Amino acid sequence: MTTKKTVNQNIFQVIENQEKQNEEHRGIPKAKFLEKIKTLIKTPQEASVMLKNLETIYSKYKFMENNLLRQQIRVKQKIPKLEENIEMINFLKLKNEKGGSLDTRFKISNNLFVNAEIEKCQNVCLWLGANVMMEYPLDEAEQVILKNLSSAKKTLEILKKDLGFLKDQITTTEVNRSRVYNRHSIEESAERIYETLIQTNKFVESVLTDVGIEKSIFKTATSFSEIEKTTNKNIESSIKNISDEQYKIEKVVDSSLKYSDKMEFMKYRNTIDEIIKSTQKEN
Amino acid sequence: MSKKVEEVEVSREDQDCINTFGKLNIRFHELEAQIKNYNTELDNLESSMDEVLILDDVLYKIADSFLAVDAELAEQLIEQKTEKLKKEKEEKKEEINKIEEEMNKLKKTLYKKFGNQINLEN
Repeated sequence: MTTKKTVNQNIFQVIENQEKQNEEHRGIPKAKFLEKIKTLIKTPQEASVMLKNLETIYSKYKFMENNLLRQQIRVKQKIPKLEENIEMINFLKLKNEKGGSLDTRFKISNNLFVNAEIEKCQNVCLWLGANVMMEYPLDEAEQVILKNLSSAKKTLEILKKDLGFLKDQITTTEVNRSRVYNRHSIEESAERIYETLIQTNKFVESVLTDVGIEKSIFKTATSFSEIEKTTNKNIESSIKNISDEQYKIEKVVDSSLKYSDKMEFMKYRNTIDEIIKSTQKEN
Repeated sequence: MSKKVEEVEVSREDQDCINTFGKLNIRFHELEAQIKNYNTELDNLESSMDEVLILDDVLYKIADSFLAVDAELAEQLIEQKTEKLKKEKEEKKEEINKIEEEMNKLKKTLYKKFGNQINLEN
């Protein structure tokens, strides 16, 4: 049975190794898909530890996703602006062919427009960033903007791929998390049944000793300890075993116990029933 | 006396299917929004075309500037833009149809294996 520490180490070691081997997609680590959770997690404590780790991993991925999404928004806003610039240049070219001056009304600030008359337009100025503006003849300006447009589109493609990969890791982690959580609740119920079994066993033994019933009936009570061993392995069949044993014991003690002892025993029996019911629901 | 509830184990292939479905779903919604935008733009262009037909000189808007054009040139510009947008919209529509097909296939496989344990609706 793996200990808490080894389970902890397992997950992170695998992720670290992967990171060292291949930085998938510019620094996004690959999420390990957890195979066969039933064999990986044996106790609810292991499940809690793993759940915590998965939560941390999940929040890291989500953080990365937010960053990439913000980058993507910025690039997506650039592209229509570049396309508008191209539209404008094409229009100017068209106007040049037609001849005549161009009357325009353009924006100099929010809510403020100004009329202008443009004679023959040969050059345009492009804002290159870093407080630099440069004058270009129309054709060259078009080239520059087209180049910027294609590099923006390429960046967008790369971002989309990154986001796709990241989404895969997030979904995998989410699915891992819910599987571990389910396993956790099953293991918790198994532990509760196990503990109740131990108590019931002790109680039945003490009652039978008091009443002085023979060894042959004791055998029925001790078969409980065998159920204890199987509980961790197979909860479905252990539930069946518990129910079977309950009824066997009930039959035996029914005839021999005092009224007050019978009530005690019923209490324990009802606890077991409730746990069984809640396990079915959670499953 | 007790009902047995099956917990279906998730395999690596299942995880891959789920991951692909997730990505397709996101792309589907993206495309849906884009197509909606195209539709509004095309509606706007159609109404401007109608207006231009009854006017002589108009101011045509590019980015934040208005440019004086005669009706003929305006018509030409509007038509060019409409054609361009229609083409792009058709491409997106094709893509979204393909994605829908893929998603339905994956839904079938996943629901078959997992039933209620998985939720693939929006």
